[in-house]
Amino acid sequence: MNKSLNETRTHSGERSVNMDVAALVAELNDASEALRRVAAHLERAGNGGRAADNGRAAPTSVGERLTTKQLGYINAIARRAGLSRDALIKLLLDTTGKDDPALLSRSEASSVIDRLNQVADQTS
Amino acid sequence: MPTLDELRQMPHISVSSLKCFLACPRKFRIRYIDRVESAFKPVALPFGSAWHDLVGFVLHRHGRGEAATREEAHDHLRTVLHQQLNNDGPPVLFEDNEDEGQLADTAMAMLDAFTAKVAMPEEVLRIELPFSVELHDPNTGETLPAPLIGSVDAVVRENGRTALWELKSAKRRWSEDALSFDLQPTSYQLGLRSQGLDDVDLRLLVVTKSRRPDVQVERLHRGPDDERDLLATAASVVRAVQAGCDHPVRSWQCKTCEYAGVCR
Repeated sequence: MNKSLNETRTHSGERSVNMDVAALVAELNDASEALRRVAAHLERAGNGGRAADNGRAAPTSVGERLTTKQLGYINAIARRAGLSRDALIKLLLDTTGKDDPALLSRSEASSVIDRLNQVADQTS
Repeated sequence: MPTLDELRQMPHISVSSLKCFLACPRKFRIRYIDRVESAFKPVALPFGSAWHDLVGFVLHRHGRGEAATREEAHDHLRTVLHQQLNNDGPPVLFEDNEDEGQLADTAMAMLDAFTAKVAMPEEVLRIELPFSVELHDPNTGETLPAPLIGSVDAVVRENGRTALWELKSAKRRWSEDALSFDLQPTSYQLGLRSQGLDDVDLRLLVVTKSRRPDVQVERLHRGPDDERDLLATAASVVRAVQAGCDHPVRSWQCKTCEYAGVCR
């Protein structure tokens, strides 16, 4: 936060604070974005990652959930495709109606991986 | 002494938290300071808890002069494993080709291997012994702001001596380096001394999680230098955390990090 504020002393010894408004705005936006991501994560955790209101069912059985390997693939391919976290979540919503990768079923995860590979191929 | 869960509710240091910081200060901050709930739980955690509980069940019966039958052990395991996999909280994710039934079969195969290789102790003194130890910076003598907490899996008598049994379920055997340097056995030695138990043998019992489990039984040695290393590590991590050190360490571990959703 100190980057945007530059404290100086006047010739009479008084303190003067010069504000770089643009830098301050940028820092506030970064902090706001970080808080927004945490809030979104907490909201998903609190809602159990329920699907959007498009009628798709969310499996709750532990045996139906995606595997750790599938989750790793999803994160790795998304990174390779240059997708931000928000873009990945949008792709998940478009493909499965869910916004939390950890709550995908195994078949949903396979669909997402296929879609991500398509995106990665298009961007490479 | 409070239970481990009660100790965890108060400010504390643990070997797990130290290892988390050393692996990735960013993850440490998200988990321990921001207290963000993880997006999921890898199955190794609930499976490990169920494994500890299963061996504890067998040891407890042995300590009472009874022998748990395989069927009793199996019934106990199925109940505990199901609870662990379906607890409230973050969803549990399996590895490939796993399901609850297969995990139960694996655990029973591990138990068979364990009981075939490891002789039951002469006496079971304690199962799950929590500890809380005040730490001091070895260079300055300063007391660290929170105690080191943990829980010893079992304290037994064998060959006429008191021994700590540390039970592990793992994908593979411990390496020589881990046997020599891992901080956890050192923390147990400190913890037991704080409970008035000195001159205790440290026994590591690792059973690999596979169709044909391997049982690794090791006697570990931790001397003053090892304890100094633990204290220095704890003091250094505390200073770094207080200074706001929270850089990310990007690696293969990011792919399956429970906090990937809030990290970037």
